[in-house]
Amino acid sequence: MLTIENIEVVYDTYVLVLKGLSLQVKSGAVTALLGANGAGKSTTLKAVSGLLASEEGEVTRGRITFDGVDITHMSPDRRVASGLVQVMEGRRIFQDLTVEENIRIGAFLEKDSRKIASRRELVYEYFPKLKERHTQVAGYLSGGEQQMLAIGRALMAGPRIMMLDEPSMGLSPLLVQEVCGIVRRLNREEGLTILLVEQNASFALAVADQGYVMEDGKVVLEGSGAELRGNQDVQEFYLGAGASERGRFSSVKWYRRKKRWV
Amino acid sequence: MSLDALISLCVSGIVVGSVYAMTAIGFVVIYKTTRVINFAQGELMMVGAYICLFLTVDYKLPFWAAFLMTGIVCALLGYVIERVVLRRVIGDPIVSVIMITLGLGIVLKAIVGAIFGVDVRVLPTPIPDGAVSIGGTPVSYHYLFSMAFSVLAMCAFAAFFRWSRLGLAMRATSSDQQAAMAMGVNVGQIFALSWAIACVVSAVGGMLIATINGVNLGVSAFGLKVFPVVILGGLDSIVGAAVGGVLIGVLENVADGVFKSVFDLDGFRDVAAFVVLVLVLMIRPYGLFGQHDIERI
Ligand SMILES: Nc1ncnc2c1ncn2[C@@H]1O[C@H](COP(=O)(O)OP(=O)(O)OP(=O)(O)O)[C@@H](O)[C@H]1O
Ligand SMILES: [Mg+2]
Repeated sequence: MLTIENIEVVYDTYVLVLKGLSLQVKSGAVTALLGANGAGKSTTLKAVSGLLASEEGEVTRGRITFDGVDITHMSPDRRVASGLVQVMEGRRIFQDLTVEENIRIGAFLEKDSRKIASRRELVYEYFPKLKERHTQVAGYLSGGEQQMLAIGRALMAGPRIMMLDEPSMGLSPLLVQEVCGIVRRLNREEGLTILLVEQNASFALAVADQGYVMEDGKVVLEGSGAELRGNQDVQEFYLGAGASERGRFSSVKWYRRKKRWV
Repeated sequence: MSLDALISLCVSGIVVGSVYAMTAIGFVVIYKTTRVINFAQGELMMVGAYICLFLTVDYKLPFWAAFLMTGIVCALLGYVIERVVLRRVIGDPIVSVIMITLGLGIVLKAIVGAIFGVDVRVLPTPIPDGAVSIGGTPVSYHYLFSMAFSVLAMCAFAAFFRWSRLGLAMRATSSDQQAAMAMGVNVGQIFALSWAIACVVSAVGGMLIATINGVNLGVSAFGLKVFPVVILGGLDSIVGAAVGGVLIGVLENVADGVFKSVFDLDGFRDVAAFVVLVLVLMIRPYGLFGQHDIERI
């Protein structure tokens, strides 16, 4: 459905951040993209949503296709209109607008008022807390509620692929569970295709059908969710297993693994 | 000084203040969405007044048709100014953007001066001469019309920003540009729209001033009053612009009257507004309604 082929992304005309990254998002699936800080996960999402241009970033090589259409250089609003919607890192809700207004702006490109009404109903059904607080200024919501609002706002755009950038960031374990459940429900019940970027690998791999691990601007590992969960490197680096074995040999192993990945 | 005189100063202050308020809204709209400080606001007022004059006197259009046409022409002008001039300097240092708006003002003034000359000309209007008495104070129909129109325009804007789809998109853009973009808002179009709105508002302000004072290049001096108004109200607050406009209008009128009658000093009107500006900057730099974290210019 969404294919990224060998893209290179450059910021400020000379900072090379993505170095030939390829991945595929299959229709109806949850695809996870994992990686350490600064690996280029957010950059990848911005390349797909077209927000790169607003940060002096540019795709200099390779291409991105959505349903066979080349979108590499399409304007961001046309990508949203075609069903590619990104929930940005750090929630980025409109702080000084009310909850209801945040929801309304999500459907900015939708002209059909019946569709807007039914989407709003869906959003409030998923997030009853938002309905309770719909007249409140969004900046006063708790972190968890803000994340729900960010997801709800994106749902209003009627996405075919929703790209979530670290939705678990700064949330308590219980709330991470809740977000996890919501992602799963959106995928199963609404048939929404999801591309999920995460640092929290145990959450991401718990819901993912397919996963990619990236490092330094490239994909270094890919496989089904189950494969990645079982992979020793992933377990060690991202799921926190094997920490006790890390005695004397750890530095040696680290070095070897890192080399293999880079 | 008698109470009657004071009341009358307040009334005329409110009238002029409501025009300031409306013009200041144009300034705030541009600042909120694009973070550009527009020093050409007064010249845009002047352009509006001259276009209206040209359409009524030279083209013999009825006043109301000319009024409407001026609005449309100025909307286009604002759109073009944004597209051609300001779009190129997005993200440039604030000082160079300020220089560009200053330059724009000078260019507009020169063009208008070259075409129309510098004499004061009367803008013919269908508004009758004469006055009504409000609480014992006579208020001329011209004043009444200006105030009514400004208040109406401000209500229309309030409704636009609160309920319309584009008004909401403008507020979203001013709150978080990139997030608005992620929701499919074409931010470039929103920028152009803010300039179009600001130009219309300024033009209307210019025309209203012209119905009272006549038309000459001096109309642009009213644009300077935008600064005390928005500094008082808060650079990023539309409500602040409205309240600040009326406050400054009343204050400068009363101060002027008081200085004239008590100290026999003339011309305190313009000084008063800027004394307020300096005081506000010292005491409450983000204005009465502005957000605290706003950067200073
Ligand atoms: N606007 C920008 N201009 C220049 N460099 C940037 C810009 N945005 C990101 N980078 C650089 O690109 C690299 C990848 O950043 P990116 O935000 O994509 O990482 P990430 O994988 O999302 O990290 P995190 O998990 O911390 O969010 C980093 O080294 C960062 O410094
Ligand atoms: Mg990131």
